[in-house]
Amino acid sequence: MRNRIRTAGISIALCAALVLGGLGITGRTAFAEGPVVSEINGVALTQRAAEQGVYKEGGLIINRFEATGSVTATADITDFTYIMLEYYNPTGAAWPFVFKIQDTTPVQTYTTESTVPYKRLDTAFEEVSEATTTGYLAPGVSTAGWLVFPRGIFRDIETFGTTLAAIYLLLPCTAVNQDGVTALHFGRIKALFGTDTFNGGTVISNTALWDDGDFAPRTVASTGGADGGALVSVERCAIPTVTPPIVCDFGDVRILEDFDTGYPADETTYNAALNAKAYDAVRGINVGRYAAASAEGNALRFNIVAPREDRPDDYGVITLTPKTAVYKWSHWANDGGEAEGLTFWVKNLSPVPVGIGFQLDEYDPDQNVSEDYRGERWTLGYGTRILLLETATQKQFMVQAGDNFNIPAGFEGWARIPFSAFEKAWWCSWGNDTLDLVRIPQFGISFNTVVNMGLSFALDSIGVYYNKTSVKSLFRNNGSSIAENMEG
Amino acid sequence: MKIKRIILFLICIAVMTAVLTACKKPGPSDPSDPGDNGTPQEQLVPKTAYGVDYLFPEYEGFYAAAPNIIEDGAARYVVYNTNKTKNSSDAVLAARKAVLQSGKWVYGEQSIILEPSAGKWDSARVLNADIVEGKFTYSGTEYKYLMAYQGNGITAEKRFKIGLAFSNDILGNWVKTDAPFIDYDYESEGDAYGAGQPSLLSINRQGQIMLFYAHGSSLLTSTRFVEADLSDFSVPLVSGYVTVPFAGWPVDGNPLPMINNADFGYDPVSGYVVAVKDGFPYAGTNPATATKVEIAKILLDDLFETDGAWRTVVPVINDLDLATQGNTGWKRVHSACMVTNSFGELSAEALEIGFTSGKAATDPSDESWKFYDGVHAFAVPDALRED
Repeated sequence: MRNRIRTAGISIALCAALVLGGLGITGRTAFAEGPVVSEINGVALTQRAAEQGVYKEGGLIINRFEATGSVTATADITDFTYIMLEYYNPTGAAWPFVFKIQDTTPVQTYTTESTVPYKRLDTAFEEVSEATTTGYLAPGVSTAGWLVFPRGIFRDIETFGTTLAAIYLLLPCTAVNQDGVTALHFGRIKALFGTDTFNGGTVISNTALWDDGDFAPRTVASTGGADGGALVSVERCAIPTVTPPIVCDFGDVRILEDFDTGYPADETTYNAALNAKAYDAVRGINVGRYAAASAEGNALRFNIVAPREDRPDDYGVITLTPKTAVYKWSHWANDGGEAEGLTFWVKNLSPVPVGIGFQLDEYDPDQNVSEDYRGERWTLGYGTRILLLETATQKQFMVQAGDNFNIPAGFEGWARIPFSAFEKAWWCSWGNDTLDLVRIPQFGISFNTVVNMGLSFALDSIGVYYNKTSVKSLFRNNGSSIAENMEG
Repeated sequence: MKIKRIILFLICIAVMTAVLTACKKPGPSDPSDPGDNGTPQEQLVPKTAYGVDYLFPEYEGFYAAAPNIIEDGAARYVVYNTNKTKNSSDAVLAARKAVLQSGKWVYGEQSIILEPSAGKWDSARVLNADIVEGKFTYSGTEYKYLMAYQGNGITAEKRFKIGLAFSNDILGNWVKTDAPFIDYDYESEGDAYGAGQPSLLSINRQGQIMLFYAHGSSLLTSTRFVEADLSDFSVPLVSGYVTVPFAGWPVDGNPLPMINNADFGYDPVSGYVVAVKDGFPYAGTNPATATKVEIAKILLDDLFETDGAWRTVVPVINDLDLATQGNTGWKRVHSACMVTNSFGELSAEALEIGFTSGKAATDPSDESWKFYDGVHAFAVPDALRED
């Protein structure tokens, strides 16, 4: 988190810790700081401590059932035809998980390992797709809805008795760089009988009804000798009822990502978590904590390196999800002002200019992401004029962008990119052609891996600014500058 | 004795003649002048006027380009690039003064006003000057005029930087500052054009100025400006640079509009900055310069806004507009300037430009276009305007 210009001001880091801390991805005490923001109400599973190359599973055993409103240790699901699982995948990849059921007599576990297809429904119970699996299930990127498992999908289900004793929701954990990154959210579980339709059935488990204390004892599932509780965290997730108010800003700035609050203290884990956000098909980037003396708190250092051999001249991207789970940027919850643009702190660590780009993914206001999870892509338009404020000299600049814009050699300070600068990507054929700024699940920082190879820069305090900003003339009384707006 | 005196007198005359000849201003002069021995000098061939006439007589082998035309009271000045030696690519800055005679500006003799400085950053060429009036103190001396010019240390169209010079007379006695005012580090920004094509405006008719300039790196070509207070050059106040918006200019077949080779004037009444710049695409044959220029305007305050945009004044001025009876017009029209007063001011209601003309090569072996650039003025007729 970067402090504001030359003034001590309020303790941004302290405020950010108070407001943003509950939404961090690691180091949490379950529910002490509020639920993980989600598209569904339920439970969030997040990989925490994989051991590279060693296969382990961790997650949640559900062994309390709420079939009729009362809590029971088992559930009678004799002759069930389907089991349905409500889910939300908030990540940028189709992360896998394992689903198992277990009965009591005999005690046996049944996994989804057959060629019998299962369906994916959206949140309105409309069928989206059908697939088969012989093990892992992998719901699509940024989708929410239901997975429908027919009875036949469970291997050896013919031996299943009448009493459901447990349901397993497990994440396979093999890659260290996914610690703090892989996360899947699960909600209600339903059993269907006879002629039940998909929007009917009986809810047999609803973690949203659990008390806070009901979670921790169940995070025990593991294989390979791992402690499941440490391997995968289990936290409450919930659909936000109100947009989280952000009061820890400065001037007209609201911070969305500070690369500090809520991230692991351990540098190795921190770097692994952030590196996992790079577009894996290209790579071309190594990121890591940047905590030089000139920075306050942590920033993120970008080292641009050779991309994958099969993508020699492509763009690398780091994709970030707004830490505060604020998807609506157009108007702040407690602020009547309209969003003007993106702001961030940047330091060019190279002796030559370094070019970077920004891109936004947004859903249309009425888009059903269960049916179509594709975000409309917006990138910097040619000719975009971007404001810079050099902290040391207080000099203002206005630079011009192509699809990237150049940070001058040695520059350290603040940048502002007006939203009017963003144009819909030429290849993006979907979306409503309007930058609505009301549902932005992620944004990216891009860079040409060829032009910039070997260069480095640090980035911090990415946020939205709400006042129209100009270069302040030395001689004329025009507009208001970055400095004036940040001082508030 | 008398014969000796006559011989001595003749020797003195010869020496004086030799000295005067040596001091004679370089570049073309009237070809009708007799030479030392009473015979005509090397015959200078006047350039052919293919369109509106030259500002002053021009001769083949000597180019004149990138005019800066200033109307200062009852006089006009034109400052331009030229070569000292016939058919040479050397580059110096020359100026001429004009007075109004029978409704026409008649230009006087050429003065070389700035040359490269051996051993300095501008040791190879100096060109593209722009001059503005104000009140500037440099090394303890107060000066009336400030010049911005571009120069480099290699004979190539790259690694340019922008320097400053001061004088109390447009026609001479210019004092350069030591270091470039707008630097260009080709090792970090690329072995490209650099910083050049300066254009000055006075903000307060004193020491406050705006300096527009082209910046061409290996990554991007754009036009920028800085504000500066040079009242006391020992403690200059200089802003960061602002990239001039190109929204509103014609795309000209490019993916996006480009602004370079631009010159700017300011209308204090309307608040508009008016600019003339090269149009695109450049010619595909020699010389590879623009074949047209364009004029647009923008409110001064909008230059400081991220969404500032230009408004078209004249979408194109090309050979058709510059043809005269019996002529086809200039096949090359580029490197233009706004005719302004000495403070860079103009009236947006009555625009006049200076421009550089050139002829086109008829085939790849034709080199007659070399050293053929000439300078002209053109009052923009209302019929061409779209604002």
